[in-house]
Amino acid sequence: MFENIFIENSLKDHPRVESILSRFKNSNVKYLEQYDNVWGRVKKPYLAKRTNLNLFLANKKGQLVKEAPNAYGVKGERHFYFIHAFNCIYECKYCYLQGYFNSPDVVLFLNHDEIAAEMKRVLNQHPDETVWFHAGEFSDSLALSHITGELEAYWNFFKQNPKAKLELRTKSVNIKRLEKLEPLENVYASFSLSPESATKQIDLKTPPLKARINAIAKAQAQGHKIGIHFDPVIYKDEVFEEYEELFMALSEGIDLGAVSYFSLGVVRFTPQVFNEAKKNYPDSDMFAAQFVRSSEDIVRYPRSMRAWILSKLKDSLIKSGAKEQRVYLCMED
Amino acid sequence: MNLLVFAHRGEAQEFIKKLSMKGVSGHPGLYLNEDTALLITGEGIYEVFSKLGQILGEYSITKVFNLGIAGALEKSIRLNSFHEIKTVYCHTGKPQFQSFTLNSENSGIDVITSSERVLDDSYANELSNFAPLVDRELWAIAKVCDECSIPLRSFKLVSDMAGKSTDCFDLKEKALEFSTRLLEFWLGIEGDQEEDPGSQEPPIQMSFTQKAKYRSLVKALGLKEGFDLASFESKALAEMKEGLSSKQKANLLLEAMELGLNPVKLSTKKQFEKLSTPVQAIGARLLFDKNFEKKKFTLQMEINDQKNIDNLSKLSEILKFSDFEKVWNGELDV
Repeated sequence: MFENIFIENSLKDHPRVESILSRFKNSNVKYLEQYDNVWGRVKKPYLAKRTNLNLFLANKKGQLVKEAPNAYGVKGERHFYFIHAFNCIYECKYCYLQGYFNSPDVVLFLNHDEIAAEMKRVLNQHPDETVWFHAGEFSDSLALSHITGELEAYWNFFKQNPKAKLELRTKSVNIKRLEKLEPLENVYASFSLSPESATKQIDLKTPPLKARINAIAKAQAQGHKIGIHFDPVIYKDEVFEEYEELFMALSEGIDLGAVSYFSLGVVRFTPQVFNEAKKNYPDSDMFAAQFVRSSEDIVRYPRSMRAWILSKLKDSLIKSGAKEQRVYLCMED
Repeated sequence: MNLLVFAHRGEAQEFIKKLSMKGVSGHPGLYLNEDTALLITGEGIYEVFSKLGQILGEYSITKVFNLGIAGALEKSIRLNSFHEIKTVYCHTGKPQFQSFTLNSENSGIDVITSSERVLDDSYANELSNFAPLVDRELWAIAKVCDECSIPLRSFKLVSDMAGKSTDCFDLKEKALEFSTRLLEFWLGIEGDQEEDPGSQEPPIQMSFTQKAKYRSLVKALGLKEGFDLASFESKALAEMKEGLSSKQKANLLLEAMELGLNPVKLSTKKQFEKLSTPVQAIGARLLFDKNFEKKKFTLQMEINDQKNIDNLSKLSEILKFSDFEKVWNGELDV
């Protein structure tokens, strides 16, 4: 999977490094002072991840927890994300990471204790509010969790801090570590889903839809809190039929009424990511629609089109068994 | 015309001979035959900048091909193997941020162009953090081509392991052998070059601006699975009333095409027009932004009489902002 593994010198004797290396025996191992002496120093094309993906093991410095933008999650509550990794093993054609970082190489940060300490500090600053911490802003939360072994570290934090909420966002079916952990009232495993055709054609390298629904069902049966994101919705002539099929398949596999929240959002890009995605995937039918650049500098469908899509999908989702008050529209005013 | 770019005469010698290329007076390093140009730049990025820029400015070059030798930075790279280059990086005492991804048609590997010869292992090791091959010119060739918007492909023959074992004299002695192998490789791939498809012409007369819009719509609609442009156009044209001017026909066709990309655009427009009717009736206009993106409009009206003001005050009884909000919120008759 990884051509080279770069390790910061200070982590040479870190127990997690040895365990990670044991899983990638064919990779070249190199040591360096700081990961960003190489990572991001040159503009490495996003699609290089297909042929020569590298892994960096490092300690995150600088800001470890960041406030999330408005309308990021459940409205009326405060949202932050913490940075446990950069980049992802999947290749979703709309992914903003393709225009965000200067390299597709994966960085795994190992200083989880420091990140948890920072979350505690943030939590103390907002003693009277519900504070959400999201993992998965810059990387999939669960895809490599069996390798990183980080879930346990965060689990302890959220067990000790029941007022804080954790969201683990994923497109993976990798719930191995999750299954070993006791469900907590304030920890949500949230799964991003798209119809079968989009999963195959747009969310490249992600597991098939059926496997993802099975993983959600398992996690739900075990007692974990579940969130589901239908985001981004990509318009095509058959979009409503495809989502109806998806909602039906989902309602057959899991108890939709017991899902803690659903989000719906249409595809959107920063201008830079839009250009990058068009360059990387010029033939994708994702671009077979009208896009406008809004005053907030977001490239997306025109307002009435996205409102039309979202309201129809919301109705369809509620008819399938979702509770209306648990459905929110992502990044929409 | 294609342009072949080499760093050294030694690498180019068999091409000049076998492709019957003649030197061009006043342009040292430039050779031509009937359909191909060949340029020998000399070693290093600075030589490339001056020589290649001049040729691309003077000649009508449609594609550039770089052929030459490169050093391996990783042991896994086999000596004497050929590689098409995908992305080129640069190191000039420090890594340069800018990289270029070439128009490779096959899967390729990356190369880093070094401004210095790579004669020690620690430098080779530093370069290997970025790419498995090293050369001396490709990044500069790519930069010039990028600035001139000319597609570039590059093929490298791995000559040696870069580092303290690099022997420049030995490489010079092997120049004829390298050139022969590069030519054989080139002749094997030369016929595979694909021609770019031409720009799509509209089925009816259009203005320059309409044509530009038409082409961009064709491109987007062409991405739809199963979209058949010819039958779409003939259906749209057949549905048009007789007696329309070319401009009207062109606008209708473009509107039909836009609907394929945004099925609610027309109904959004029509619903806002309907809501604007009482405003128009009193001689005023509602102005929206082009894509109805902002939840607001401007009321424009010329006041030249008390009657205008009286009419304006009546608007508050018949114009409901919530009706407009419904349209912005996607409540559309589609």
